[in-house]
Amino acid sequence: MAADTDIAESMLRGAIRAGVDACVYLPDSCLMPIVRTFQRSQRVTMISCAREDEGVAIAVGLSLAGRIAVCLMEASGIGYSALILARAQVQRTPVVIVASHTGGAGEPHDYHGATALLAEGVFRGLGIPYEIATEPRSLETLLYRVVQTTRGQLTSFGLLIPPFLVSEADR
Amino acid sequence: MNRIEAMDAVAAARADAVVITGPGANSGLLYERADSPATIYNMDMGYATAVALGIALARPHRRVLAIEGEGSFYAGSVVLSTIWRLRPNNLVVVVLDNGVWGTGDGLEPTATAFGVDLVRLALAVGWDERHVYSPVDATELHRRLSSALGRGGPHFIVAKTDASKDEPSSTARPRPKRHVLDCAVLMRAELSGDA
Repeated sequence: MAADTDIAESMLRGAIRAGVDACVYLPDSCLMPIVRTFQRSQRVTMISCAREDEGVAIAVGLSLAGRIAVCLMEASGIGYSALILARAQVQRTPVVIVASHTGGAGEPHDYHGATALLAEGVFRGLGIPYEIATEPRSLETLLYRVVQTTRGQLTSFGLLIPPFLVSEADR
Repeated sequence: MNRIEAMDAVAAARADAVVITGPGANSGLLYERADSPATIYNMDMGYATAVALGIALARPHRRVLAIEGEGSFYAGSVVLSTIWRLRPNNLVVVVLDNGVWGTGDGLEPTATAFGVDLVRLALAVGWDERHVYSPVDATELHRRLSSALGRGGPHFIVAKTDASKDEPSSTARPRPKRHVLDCAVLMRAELSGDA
């Protein structure tokens, strides 16, 4: 199993290769190594926000202005963000959501129950395509492909990350 | 000052600013007075200012203006702290505060009717008072906004308006005659040569 930092570096490579130049984020225990790696790279404009839906709205503004932004968040934030994600779909100003937690295997904590329940439901309900990552070594290419589809098809795209995939503490 | 007088002042001050308007009457009034391709109308409730912030960060050489009613703005008001932390000097936020929700019969009071003070809220989350204004009439609103759009931002302008002179029903409002998708396409084109 790759170390957390290797996975984070892999995500950064995928993002840079895809042309990502901005990242809106809220701290999340699983994704923090990725946030810190993006910050250290100084190749991505990092925007910390106060709520996930606010962050998605900021990313919509970045998208309108031609920037390519990734939103990093716990999947609970996808619930907050349903309305602005719907607007992003309607007006074809897509954003990329990378979120921790899924409705699948590897969710041991009861307090993540609501978080695990909602992400895929919101994406399905809004017709937003999404992938659930399963292999740490594929994350670079997977993120690259996600951004590629987002830009080519002008649709938002969700990339859901099971905690055990990116966080050593959850294995 | 009523809403129409306030929007007359905003339209007169707009110049080439990119504008994101919140939902409701302000969108149609701006469309009738100062439409331009660099406008997104009727952004969904709570998000006009955050979307404007994203554009302001991406295009630091372009003036960006968010216009919201107080109901929508308060719903997304956490953005005040994010704006002040990032301090884009090209962003101006105007809130027209008439104390009632701009939907249905236009009589349902908003939080500001019960004492919420958006100027004090901005100061409480850290804004410097030199960047926060509460103009008392349309003339001062026009002057403050024109000056604010001249940079040195971010700026936050809260203009109280008299709801008794607004149109009585949300169905009687002017509406933008451009689809939100077309607005976004035009906005992207407008900003693509602007980096």
